[in-house]
Amino acid sequence: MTFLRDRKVRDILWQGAATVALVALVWFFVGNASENMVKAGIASGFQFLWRDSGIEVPFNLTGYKPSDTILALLWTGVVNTLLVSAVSIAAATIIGFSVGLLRLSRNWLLSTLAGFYIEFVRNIPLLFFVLFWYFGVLAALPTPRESLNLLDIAFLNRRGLSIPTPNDATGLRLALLATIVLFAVQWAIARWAKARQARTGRDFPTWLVGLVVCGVLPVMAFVVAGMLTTWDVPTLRGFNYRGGFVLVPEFVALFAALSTYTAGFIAEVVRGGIQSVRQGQIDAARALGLGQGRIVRLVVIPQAMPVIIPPITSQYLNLIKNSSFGAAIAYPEIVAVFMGSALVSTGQSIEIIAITLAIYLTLSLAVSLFMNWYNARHRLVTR
Amino acid sequence: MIAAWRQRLFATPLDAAITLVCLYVVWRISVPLVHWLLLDATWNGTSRDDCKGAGACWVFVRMRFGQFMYGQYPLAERWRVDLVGALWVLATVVLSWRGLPYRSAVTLATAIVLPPLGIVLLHGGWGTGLAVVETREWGGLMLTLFLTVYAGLIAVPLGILLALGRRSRLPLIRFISVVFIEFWRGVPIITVIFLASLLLPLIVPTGFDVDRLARAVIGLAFVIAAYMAEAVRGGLQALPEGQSEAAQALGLGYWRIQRMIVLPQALRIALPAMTNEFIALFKNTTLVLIVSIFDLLGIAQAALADPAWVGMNMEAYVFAGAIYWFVCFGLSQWSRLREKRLQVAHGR
Amino acid sequence: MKFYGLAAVAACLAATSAGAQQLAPSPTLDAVKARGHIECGVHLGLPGFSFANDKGEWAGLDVDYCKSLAAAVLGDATKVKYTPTSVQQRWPMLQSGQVDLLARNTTITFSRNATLGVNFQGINFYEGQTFVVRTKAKVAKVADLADATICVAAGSTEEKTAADWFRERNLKVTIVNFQKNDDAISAYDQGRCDAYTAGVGALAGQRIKFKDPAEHQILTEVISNDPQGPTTRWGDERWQLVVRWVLNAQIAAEALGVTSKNVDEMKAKSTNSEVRRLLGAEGKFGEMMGLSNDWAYNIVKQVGNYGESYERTVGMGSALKLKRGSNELWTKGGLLFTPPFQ
Repeated sequence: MTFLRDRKVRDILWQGAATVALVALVWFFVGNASENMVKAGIASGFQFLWRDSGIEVPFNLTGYKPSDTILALLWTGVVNTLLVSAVSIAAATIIGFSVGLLRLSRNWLLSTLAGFYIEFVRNIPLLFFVLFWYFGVLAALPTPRESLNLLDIAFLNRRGLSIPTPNDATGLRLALLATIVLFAVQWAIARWAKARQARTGRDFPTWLVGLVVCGVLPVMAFVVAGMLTTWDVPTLRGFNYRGGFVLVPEFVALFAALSTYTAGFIAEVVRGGIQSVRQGQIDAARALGLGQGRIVRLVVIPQAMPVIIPPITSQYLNLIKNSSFGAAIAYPEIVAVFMGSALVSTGQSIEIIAITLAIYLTLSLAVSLFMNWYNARHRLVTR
Repeated sequence: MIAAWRQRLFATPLDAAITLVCLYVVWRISVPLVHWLLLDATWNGTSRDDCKGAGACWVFVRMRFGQFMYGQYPLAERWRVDLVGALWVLATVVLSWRGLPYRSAVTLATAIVLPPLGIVLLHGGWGTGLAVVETREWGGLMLTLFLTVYAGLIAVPLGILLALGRRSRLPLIRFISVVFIEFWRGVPIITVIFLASLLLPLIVPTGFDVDRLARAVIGLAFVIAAYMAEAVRGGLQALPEGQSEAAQALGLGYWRIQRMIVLPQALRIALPAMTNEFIALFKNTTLVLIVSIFDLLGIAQAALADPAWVGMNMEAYVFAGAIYWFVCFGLSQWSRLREKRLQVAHGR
Repeated sequence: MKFYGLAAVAACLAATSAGAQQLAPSPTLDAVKARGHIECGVHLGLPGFSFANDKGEWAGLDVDYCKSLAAAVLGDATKVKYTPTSVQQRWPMLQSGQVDLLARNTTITFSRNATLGVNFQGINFYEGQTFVVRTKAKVAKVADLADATICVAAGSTEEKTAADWFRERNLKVTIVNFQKNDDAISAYDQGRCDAYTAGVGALAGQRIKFKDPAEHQILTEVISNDPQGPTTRWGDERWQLVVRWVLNAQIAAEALGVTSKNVDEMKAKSTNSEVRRLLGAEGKFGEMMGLSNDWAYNIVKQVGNYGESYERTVGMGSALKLKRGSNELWTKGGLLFTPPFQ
């Protein structure tokens, strides 16, 4: 038995045992599953994806119809998940950073209130938030007949926010293109201004120019394009507003719940990150005569970012996964339409759950990779 | 004193303005809230008709209190739940007393005896002479706590093993650990609970039935174990390499190094992060209601479906929400306190 | 090997010599008898069909069926354990054997029968789909709901039936599908939708969940006929037989005029041979299925015949006040029917 003391032999034995155990376990489960399914007469395979779904989805951007396939239904669910996640991530970041900064405010009342918000949000299950926002939002909104009329083009009621859609989007696409070009121009100007400042020390009002180039001009482009296009304006017909696009209350409620909830966690991360910047750095910046805004922007944030980014990444990932709570309030995301409706109508639980898991894993992996790349880049810049 | 407060609230004109706006907002929110919660609320009565005031109808919570706590657990047997709860509290208090003789031995004994004892007491049968109370009758806060504690009991050791596995020399073990951790961390808990409740019965041999509640516990435990593993890994990484190298030089084996040198220090560092995962677990138990297991939130929703108490949504959610909030807040404060104490102890 | 072969032969011999007739093996029935109770999968909570009060006692038409089954198989109607199942859970629960059967207000459809590995064992309720709307919306017939928003439980037959109905007539509606009936109801109650759709029977019970039931009206027009009944998984034909004939016995008892009150008298004195066969006074019908011969007597004695059960749970004797309608015996203009007990 002395050969067992050899580290290499033991390593191989350990790993061999683990592999055998794992393979045996998987074999066992797969074997049972196929046997049980044959015995129970349950259909299997992925052919069901090409069957007609017959399931209604009240909110979709993909142009999905109930006569489309289940695959199209799945795609609609994925798009809805991505949509609500993207919008909520943006909002949660903004709210989270603001609350995190307020938490560090010199004003005692302000920082205490921010503290209350953080502690309130972090210690309550998300499901409460989703239900609260949904039923709270519904109760607060007027009935369709008493809709809130916003300039005769948009209408807010319990069925959602009806907004006009363009009949022909060419003009708007041009405006979008113009905006992208303007942003590129602004980026070039900023680079040039930085280079000139480094060379000659002369300051350039980059922010002011940016406000015009990235703010005023794009808005003007969209206004002009909007005036040149014809719009499908919602009108009250029978029960509801018809025409245009309806932003359903489920979306609004899920968005509000996800962003306010995640903001509480992001605020805590931001506070920790900023506090990790040593006071000496700020004192030194002040000694150089920098203003409060510039200290935050040029000294504090760049140093806090490397501390902040990894935990924020996991918050973003959590948010994407938490968008599955939409199923509780009929927001048609992946879990609701696919693991709910499609599973019930086809009964193929194994395939459907496997596909759902695969989609979430892909999303998580994609976000992790992106944030890792961003983090690595950021670290290089700040050294 | 006054000067200090003036500095805190009215340092500059802008600060003063902000303070006043905040005060106004707080006033506008808190007055109706206090009225609804306390002043205009109805406390006494037996039915919905007794609630005539504009405030909350706490009669509903009072009448349903037993269900919120114990679910459908039979009235005559509820002392068993209380007993198990008392045993856990007692064990926690005794074990956190530092002067306890043979502390590690007692801890180990408790860890081995108490969890199965709890299950036996709650479930009954199995030759104990206690009436059997099946898991489908469990519910309410007791079920929430049960899920948290038992999923936690599986998740902590599993998480530690996974964290060690992820830092193992052996590429295969490392690979398995990474795949396990990243898989469970990458999927929403809703899908995991579905997975556990719908798929588990299909992949085990026919006739071998896993209890519904046990399935939920396993599902939750796997996910939390993956998060725990990451928390523990944080602690392991914070430990200087020299520690285990020195132990190796002394001729200690792998497991003894981990048990005696590495883990005690790493876990202490990882404790705040682990507590956070534990809080997350507690909050996520609410999701079991989608597979018709009636935890605290599920029981509250079931009570709302009773025609006799229609429209009590706010009361039910506020009451249940307050319980969640106090437990989570208590846990996080405890962990913060410990963290501070440790920092003091380490002279930082 | 040899030993097992011998043992098997011996067992076969013993079995043939002991019973006059050999029964097909029934693992489910054996399991039920060994376990001492039936595992019945029911709806999460549908007043009139399966609903647990705050003491956890279940009652309703579907629950009465479970009780009848227990009375027939185990001789005691109380030996049932109820597993509440959601729309998503019901099929996997049945398929994986966690419940012995479903009696949960589930509609019989072709695709379910063909692809889910489940069999429907008869009809204990003819449901018809309709809508509930606010009285002040002034809706008289279903077609008036054009352009309306309709709340529905996801994955139910109602979801598809409603969508098909409006599409066929080129009317546009928005359908919002919730994961649970109760969520759909409270969303409708909160004003998210103009209408909530479900079966007439289900609605009769669910309308008491509205904050102000007087503000709502159930349309009289019905857009579908949804037969519902106990469901078993494929395989184990003898268990399917038992499930099917317990339902038939409930109906036959009503048709033959056997009630819980007169069942003892009928058993002793009746000259009608179908009654005598049903109650076990003549022939050995119970034994043919592997039950005791007083199986149907126990059903009627402990639970009652179909009519009694109907009146108590959903009919005039209940809060739902549903007329018999299609659920009346075929002899009285309804659709309920049972093959003869011969």
